[in-house]
Amino acid sequence: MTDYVIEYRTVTEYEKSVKQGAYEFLIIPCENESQMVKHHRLLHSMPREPFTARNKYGFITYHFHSNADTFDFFSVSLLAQVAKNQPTLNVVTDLSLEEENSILEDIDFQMDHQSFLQSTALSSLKPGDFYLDLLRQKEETVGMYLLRLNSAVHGMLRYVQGSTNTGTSAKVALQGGSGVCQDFAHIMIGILRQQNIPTRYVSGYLSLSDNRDSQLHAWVEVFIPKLGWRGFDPTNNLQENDHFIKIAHGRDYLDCQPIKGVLVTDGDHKTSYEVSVRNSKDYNWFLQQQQQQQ
Amino acid sequence: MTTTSNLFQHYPLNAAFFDEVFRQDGQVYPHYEDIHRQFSRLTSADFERLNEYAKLSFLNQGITYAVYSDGHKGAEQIFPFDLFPRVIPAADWEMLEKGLIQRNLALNLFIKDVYGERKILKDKIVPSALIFSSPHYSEEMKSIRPKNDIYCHISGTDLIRHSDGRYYVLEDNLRSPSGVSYVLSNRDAMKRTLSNAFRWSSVCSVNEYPAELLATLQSVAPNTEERPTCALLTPGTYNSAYYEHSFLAQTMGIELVEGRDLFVENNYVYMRTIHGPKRVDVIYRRIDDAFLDPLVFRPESMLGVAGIMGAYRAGNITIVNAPGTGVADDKAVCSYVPDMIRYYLDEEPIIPNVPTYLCEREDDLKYVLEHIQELVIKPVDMSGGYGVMICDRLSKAELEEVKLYIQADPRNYIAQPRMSLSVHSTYIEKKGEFEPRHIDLRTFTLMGKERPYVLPGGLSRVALKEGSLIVNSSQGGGSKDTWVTV
Repeated sequence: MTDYVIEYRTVTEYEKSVKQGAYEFLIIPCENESQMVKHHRLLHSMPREPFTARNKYGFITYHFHSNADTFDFFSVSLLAQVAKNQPTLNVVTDLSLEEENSILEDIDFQMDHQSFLQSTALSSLKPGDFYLDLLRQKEETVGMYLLRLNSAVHGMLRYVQGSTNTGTSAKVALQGGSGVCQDFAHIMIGILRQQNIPTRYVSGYLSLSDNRDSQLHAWVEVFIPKLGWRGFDPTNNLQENDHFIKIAHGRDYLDCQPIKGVLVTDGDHKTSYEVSVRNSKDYNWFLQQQQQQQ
Repeated sequence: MTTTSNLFQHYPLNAAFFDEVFRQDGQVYPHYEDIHRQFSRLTSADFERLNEYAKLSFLNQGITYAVYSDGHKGAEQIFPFDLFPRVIPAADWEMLEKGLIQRNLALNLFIKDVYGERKILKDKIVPSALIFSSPHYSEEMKSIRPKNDIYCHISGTDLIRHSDGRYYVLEDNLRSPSGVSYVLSNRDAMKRTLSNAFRWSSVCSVNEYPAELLATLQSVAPNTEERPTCALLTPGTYNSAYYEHSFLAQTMGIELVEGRDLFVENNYVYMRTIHGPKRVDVIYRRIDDAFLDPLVFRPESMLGVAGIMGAYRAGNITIVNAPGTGVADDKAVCSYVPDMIRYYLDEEPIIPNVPTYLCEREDDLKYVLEHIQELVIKPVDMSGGYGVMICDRLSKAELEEVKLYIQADPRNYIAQPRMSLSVHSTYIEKKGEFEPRHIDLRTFTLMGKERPYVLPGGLSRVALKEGSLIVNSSQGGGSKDTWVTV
């Protein structure tokens, strides 16, 4: 059990005033069996308070809609305290290969998990796009295969910040040989879905041990027959554990975009983000330091 | 054959087609006797005068439409109108009305199933690949349950009458079927021009349609305590059906709005009025799914309302028709409607489908490639008669090209035998007399809460070019008033 303090901050400056704008933020950690949001606060520069809505997978979004007021500056910061309790879970079952396969091949199962079996433009990969030994082998159980694949995908790309963008597909990232967390996730999704193994894209926060500035992170959840959804992080070759704080899941990045905006302005804009994930104990220490400095 | 006046003097009878007015022996069908007798008394000059008068009536009402094609940027035109009404006997209509309600009940259950339990897919009655490869499948709808489980409130079913005299369903239009305003204005023009005609015949009224539509909208409002506020959302004045949008809003007495007139606050939809924001309960939208909510669908869309899908999911607004209904009016899915009727209603279909070959199925594809000359090829997701290829009119080289198109993307094409659309006496201005022309019938069905309603008759569309089978207004078609006898 770990307690985290998460800060997410974004500032956008517009060259020319925005006359009308609508923003949707998908940044608040979700609540499930392994995590709980103890409290949270959203600070912002807009004249009107945001409202919350739910997206198609039930995750809470914050909406800022500006109708009358013009603005040339927009900032949002989220402060959330989250309790997380996620031991690394077993992924190997006592099901025989035949039992596993009969579950995965069952039409009812496929129809119920269709959202996370269908390829998407960002995640689609064909067997020719990667080595065939990355497919599940005949004698391999799903759990064993996932551990092997997670490690293999980790080795398929070099992690290079800025080498790809949010519109880069798994196929293009593979051809380029480098990428960031969403590329690793899209590749893993692309390989698994074509084998009828339901896989979903997850966005969230990752706590880094050395307290350096964090980033929003992306990993995947895979449905293992009999066990259910299990988290894998191919970027770091890890299974989901206490360090992974989930915001949302979807079919690919597009379902989990942290900010979406539609606005009327004819000028350019500049956006910056900052994310930090700290252990609560460290956070209290950090606050004390700041107070002493003042 | 016997004709009593010069207007029918040269009227040809062709056994290959079902003539709505004349039997093969030249006798007039009983339900056309009155109107035929009246027309027979007229001279060409009389009729020409009436025809001019009818045209003027449309011009004065400003009833026009716009066509999009290469080189033409939506110029406004008058919808050609033919004064010889199509008459459907009460008994025929009774059957059609039952069949249309049956079909639309099944389609609604199908859409609900697709976005819910998916029983029909699990039972392999409809192949799931057909559904999930459809561009109109909407993942959003999986987490939304529309009020009263009605997805398709307004549907336009196109019927044809084959040479066997039977009616067949050509296709369903479950997104934003248009054309109903012409039904009402055709009747209006008819009454102004041939007011006597309505004295000899008892014809079902069509004027209730706006009231029925409004009642349908109100019956599915989320908030049943107060009188719900409905609005019609149009893409704007440049849309080809803008006339219809304004006509319907006006006759229903509801606001005609564009996306910029609406906004979302706290998951409620409001419209800007001179008295301040007014909450909207039901949106009859005439814009495509892709433009509804720029935060959810196409971000560059300026036609929709940011946040409306969140309001819909929260149950604070009803969108008519629901997003994602297009998954069932794909022409390939359409061929499964008889199976849906058996599956959900445990009934036999009252109106049969035009037989359809799905190029996606291997056996069907083989048949289509071998018999291509006898078939009509249609892209599954186009409407308005665009992209339709009538193969017996193509050259050998063109046929080979069509085959290549189909083989490159079989899922995208269906084929149907060339149905012999029935013909109907139609006034041909150039010749100053009546000639047979092919017609079809677009019907309009409303599915409100416990109140299905079918507009008596519908829009009889006529292909004005001699021998043409394409009746769409965008391809040079006209229309007729349609009478259902009492």
